Amino acid sequence: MDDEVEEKLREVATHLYGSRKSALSNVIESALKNFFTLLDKAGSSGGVSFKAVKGDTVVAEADTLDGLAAILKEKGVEPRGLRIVSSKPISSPAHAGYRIIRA
Amino acid sequence: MASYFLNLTPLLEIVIRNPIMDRTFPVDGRVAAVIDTGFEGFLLVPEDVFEKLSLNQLGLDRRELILPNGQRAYSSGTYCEVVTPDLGVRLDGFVETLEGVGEVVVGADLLQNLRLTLDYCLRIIEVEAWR
Repeated sequence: MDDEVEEKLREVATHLYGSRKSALSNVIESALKNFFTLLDKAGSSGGVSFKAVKGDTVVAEADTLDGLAAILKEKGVEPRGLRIVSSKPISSPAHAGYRIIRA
Repeated sequence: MASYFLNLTPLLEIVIRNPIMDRTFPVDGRVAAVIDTGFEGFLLVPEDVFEKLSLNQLGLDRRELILPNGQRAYSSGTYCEVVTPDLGVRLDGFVETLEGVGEVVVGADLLQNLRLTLDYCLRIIEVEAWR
């Protein structure tokens, strides 16, 4: 382990658990649990689902756009004008990055 | 070649799909999208690409964007699927367009699903699917 990391680890362990024997183990275990949660979150779609809305009516719902398209086709729903809504909200405002050049 | 540098600009080859209207861009091959970690969205496309995908025929949402000069602008968008053929990855996310956008840009919301390594010294980009 990197010296700097080890020093920080001991500092945090002492701060949180004092001089208890299990202090280091507790901090490492807690850190690993957080890390695993982060990995799980990054590796999954986060349970995102999509709805096709016509006016005020939800006409189809699926976990993927492909799935949504298949349902709409099966139901014979005209896709023009449908609003697609995701369970994951769009953040606004958002930074546009540096590629946009506007007059 | 799924990803590479063009001069100092990192690019990722993708295919964009609108499954709802059964449209694909490009119809053949792939489009080189600029990797911009400063863009917080999923995918930004020029207006003509948005229309070619018939995304403008769906109900659209508006989103406020903060431009590099601090000005605010409103994009129009809906949802699409991005395919990275070499990685076998298919991702659904918000695609938006804005007047003045001249290239396809992939942002942080899309990139969070990939393991991306940029080596500017050697001009090498490594992109891996997360799982």
